[in-house]
Amino acid sequence: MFNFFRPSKKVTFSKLLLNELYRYALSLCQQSDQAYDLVQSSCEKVLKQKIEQDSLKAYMMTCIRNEYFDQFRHFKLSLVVDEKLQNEQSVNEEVVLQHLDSIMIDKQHVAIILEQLSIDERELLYLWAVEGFSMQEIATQTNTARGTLLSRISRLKKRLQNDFPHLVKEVS
Amino acid sequence: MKAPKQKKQLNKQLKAHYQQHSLSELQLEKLQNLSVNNKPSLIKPLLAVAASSLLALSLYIVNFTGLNYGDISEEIAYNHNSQMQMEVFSESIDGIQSHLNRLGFSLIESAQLAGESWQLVGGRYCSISGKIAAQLKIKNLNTLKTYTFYQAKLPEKFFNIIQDKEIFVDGVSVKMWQENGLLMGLAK
Repeated sequence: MFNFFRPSKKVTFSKLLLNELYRYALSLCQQSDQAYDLVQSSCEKVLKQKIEQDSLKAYMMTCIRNEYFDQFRHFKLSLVVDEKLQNEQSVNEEVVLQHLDSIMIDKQHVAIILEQLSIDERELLYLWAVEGFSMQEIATQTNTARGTLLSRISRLKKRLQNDFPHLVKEVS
Repeated sequence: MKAPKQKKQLNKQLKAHYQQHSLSELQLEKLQNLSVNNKPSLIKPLLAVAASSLLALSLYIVNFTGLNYGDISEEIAYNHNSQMQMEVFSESIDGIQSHLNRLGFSLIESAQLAGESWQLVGGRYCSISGKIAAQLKIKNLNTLKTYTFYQAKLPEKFFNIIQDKEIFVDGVSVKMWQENGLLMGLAK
């Protein structure tokens, strides 16, 4: 009962946190203005809630994600359950990540390729490369089955090799 | 002249790509100001005030608007132990009433002390909670014990809320009840 009357700690947004959130938002929407709006919206939501500073980033990332998919739901195609993909649960994470690690690319081609990727693929790459999340952490953050993520990576790698053979190179 | 192409691992290039993008100082300032300008909600303080007020009101009702049985019983027990002399000796209510004519209410024969086992001995003025009251001496003919019996006018607001109550103070048992708009107290 006394916790209710105890004043909640004031939430503060560091520049580092705001920039990380902005980049995450950018990985979803690819537009700076929209990314800023998403960050602002997540800040406003956090201020209305009682969120501990420790879990602030994870909570705000979820806010940004939910907000984005709510606002731009009409851009998403309806979900089709591919049984073949669902059965690819046994894909080995280590092998799949090695595939990703083996891709070499020029700095100036990153933006070109990101533009061609789907939102899910961009988000996956961002969380893996920039945030350094494990597949399990990405699965939790995006509420997606780990097997689905691994399948997505496999398909992504194939796509990169097929669609952008001149931009990417695989090293063994 | 073309810049030399340097292929690097995808994750490093992605990191470098996103690192290029940052919020401007103005945008950062705006977002940080959101938390500075965020005034604490008034709901909690208001609820705290409401809860405190409710508690204070409850305490007031319990302690100041109801009959203070504790104080009354202490007064009755004290008077009982003092064994004050009676001002009038009579075995009838009318006889005592005619002498204690400044009471402002009519003494009654209590239904709880009815029967042939109780005998009135006498009476005197006294006060209960600063109000004039009658202190009567009655004897139980079965046990031959003498009791002190009090009658006082009960404020109208307490007519329906008083309940029979028995409290032990200083070795004295004080029973209190309401009857015909009077507060009755029997000390033994």
